[in-house]
Amino acid sequence: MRQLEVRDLKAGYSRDIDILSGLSVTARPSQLTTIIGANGVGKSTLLKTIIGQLAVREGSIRYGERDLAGVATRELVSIGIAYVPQGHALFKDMTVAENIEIATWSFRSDKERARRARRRLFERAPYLEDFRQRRAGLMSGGQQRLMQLELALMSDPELILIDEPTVGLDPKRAEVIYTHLRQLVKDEGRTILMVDQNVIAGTEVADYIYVLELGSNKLEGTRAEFDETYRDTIADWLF
Amino acid sequence: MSQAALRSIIGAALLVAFVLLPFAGLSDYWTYTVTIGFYYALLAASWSLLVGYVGRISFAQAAMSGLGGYASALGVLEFGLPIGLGLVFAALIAGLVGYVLGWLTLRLHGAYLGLTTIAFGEILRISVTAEHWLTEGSLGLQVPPLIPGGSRLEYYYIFLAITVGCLAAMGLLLRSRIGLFFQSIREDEDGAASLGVAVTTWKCVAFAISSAFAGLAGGLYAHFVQLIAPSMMSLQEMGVILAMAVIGGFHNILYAALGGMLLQVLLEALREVEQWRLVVFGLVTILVLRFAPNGLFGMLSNIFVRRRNSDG
Repeated sequence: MRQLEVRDLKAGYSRDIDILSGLSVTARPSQLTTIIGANGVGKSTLLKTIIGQLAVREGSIRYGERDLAGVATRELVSIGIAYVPQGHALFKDMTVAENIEIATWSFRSDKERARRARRRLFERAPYLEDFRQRRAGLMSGGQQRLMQLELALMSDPELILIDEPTVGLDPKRAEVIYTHLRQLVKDEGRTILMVDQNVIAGTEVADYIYVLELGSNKLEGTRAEFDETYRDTIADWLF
Repeated sequence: MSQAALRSIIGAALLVAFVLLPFAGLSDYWTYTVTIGFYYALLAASWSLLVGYVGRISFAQAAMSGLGGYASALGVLEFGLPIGLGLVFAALIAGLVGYVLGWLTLRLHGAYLGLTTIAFGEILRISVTAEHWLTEGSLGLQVPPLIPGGSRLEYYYIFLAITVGCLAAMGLLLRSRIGLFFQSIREDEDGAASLGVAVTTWKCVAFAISSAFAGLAGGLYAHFVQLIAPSMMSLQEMGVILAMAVIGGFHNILYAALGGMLLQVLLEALREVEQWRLVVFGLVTILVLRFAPNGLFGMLSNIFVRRRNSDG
């Protein structure tokens, strides 16, 4: 299993201003790593840089032996990385079947793999059968978010990069998403790097936690370390 | 009944109606008007393909049509191409320039994208006006006819056939995987890219395809009216195309095409009120955007399907 290593990363939206100023993060194999921090510290910027939407100005991003700098977002699927963007990345005006067709596009030539991915999708999320020919936007918010995750899983990725998976969801539905993420790590051995604003729930499901402050590392540690030492400090600091 | 089924029925009924229309006592003048209507239908549909399906706004569609007109005319006049090949040349040149415009505007959105396409269209129009030695500038360029000595009725059926053919081609394209890519880019570029869609390529291809259809329409128009001038590339002309697509319904190529035909017929029917008809169309466009964002035909289709489903 490969691990994602981000070292001394500097990146940003304009040439003169670095949003990330020497950030280092590691997503260890078969672990859920959560990155927390206040609004605007660069959590989503980090993911956008990893997936190639922003240029690396300094530092490195490696996935196993592979250097990810300069790799286009659409190529990540073939490297075994899935990216689940923030908000509603589901194509709401398209049917569920059309969404699925797009999710299998990158491995269209391997028909057996595409068939297997479809079968697995409907095993995991049987409710999608009823929506197959209906607009994806007609599903509930929680179902849409789960489907968004399921679409990303169709390529059978080793590493999942996920941005604010529960934003806009009520606590009950958010719990379903977190439980699902935990299962993907525990039962299937996938690696997850999650950016989250939900400090309590986001750290509870994590194996390892990073806290960011203004584009650089503030604190890091295992969940046990956080439970013992940092949790109250972080809660005070963030709220 | 689904929207798709309804659209197929409407499409088939309209095709029969347009085939039979000349036999219903259509005068020579109105045959000419409806033939021009086919040109606008094709142009409005090509704009809707880009704006409605890919979510990329462009105000250079009239310029692309003019570019196609000049490309075909000059291809025939200067290089001795047969007119059929001249039309293919028009589509290719407009498609190529459209690809470049798509590439130039890849990272632009909203107002920046709109303003860049306006500037691009104006550059094309002014270049055509300035190169007097080649294009005759504002005086206009004499263009050989599509069918030497052809009757209005012959032109009518040729335009009808090409418009139907192009709409069918657009429909097939939009129903294919390419159409899915276009829609996924419209809904969420990042999401599409994360699933492996080559967003950059397909955005450029969308501009190219939309411009190629506009260029073909411009080429046809040039060989029909036999005189083209840079005014067909103006922003005022772009405003008319925009109004046609919006009033018809720019989220659907068929509705946009119907908007093109409807407004062309109304423009002629209301000729007595001169420039005021443009003011009225401007107002109607604003009202449609506010109260019927799917356009008049989109709204009618929704009402029909809802009634039909509630009756059933």
